[in-house]
Amino acid sequence: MVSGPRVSRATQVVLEAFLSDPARELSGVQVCSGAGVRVGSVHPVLARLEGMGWLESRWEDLDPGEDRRAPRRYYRLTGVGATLAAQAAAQRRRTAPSMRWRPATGQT
Amino acid sequence: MATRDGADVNRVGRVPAALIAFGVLCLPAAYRPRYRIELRSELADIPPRQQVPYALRVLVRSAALRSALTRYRPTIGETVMTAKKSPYDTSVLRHRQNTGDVGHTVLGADERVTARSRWKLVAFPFVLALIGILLTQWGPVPGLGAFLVLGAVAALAPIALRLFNDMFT
Repeated sequence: MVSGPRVSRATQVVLEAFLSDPARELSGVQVCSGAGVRVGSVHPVLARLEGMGWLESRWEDLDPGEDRRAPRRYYRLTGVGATLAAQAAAQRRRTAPSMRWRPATGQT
Repeated sequence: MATRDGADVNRVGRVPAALIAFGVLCLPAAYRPRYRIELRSELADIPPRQQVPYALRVLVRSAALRSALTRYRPTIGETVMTAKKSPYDTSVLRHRQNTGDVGHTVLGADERVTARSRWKLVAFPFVLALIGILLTQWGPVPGLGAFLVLGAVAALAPIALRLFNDMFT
């Protein structure tokens, strides 16, 4: 069953990074650099989204003889995740003005 | 050094590697192998000067990652019991059939014991408070009892806040 996670600010930023190209696979570091989030702070968000079925992940294919390093973990949006993430982004855009606590500069 | 896809791979320092290893120890046992590899590979993807801040951030966020893994990640390929709304609300449970990636090295033990572990977590401050009250009343050093009671209250406060938050959200 796929349900909606709590869409915090960090979750929104991560989802926007994936929504820029839904078919693209991103590692944790790439998500951070693409979303402007501090490196190392996205794994709880990725784990939550993956657990909810919005993201899926796989290990990088490495040639054991050629690549002597740890494989990366790549994440990408699932079909359901892409749809729900787009809906969440659209809903956030609709509700964003109502979240303003004070008038913008220049308004009275 | 560059990989086949053109990304730079840096040498991983001992200190950030140790910090990552320590952070991974905070995670559920079933997820440790995966995150040990994943976080170490990411460490190699960032410049050496940023590796220690990265490892510290991972260490600080390991509790949040553990929470996300235990709350949202079910056992792969079998029916498990998960809390519907709150991990503390054990009366509301539902079956959840997971059809996730079977390639994960994820076992079911952690998911099944989380409810029991949380009750142990709550029970410990209660026992501490009880001992503190007994020491305050009849113990040789009243200050020690008060210290234990205050410690128990401090330990219970975040749990109470979490319960309160789950009840009204």
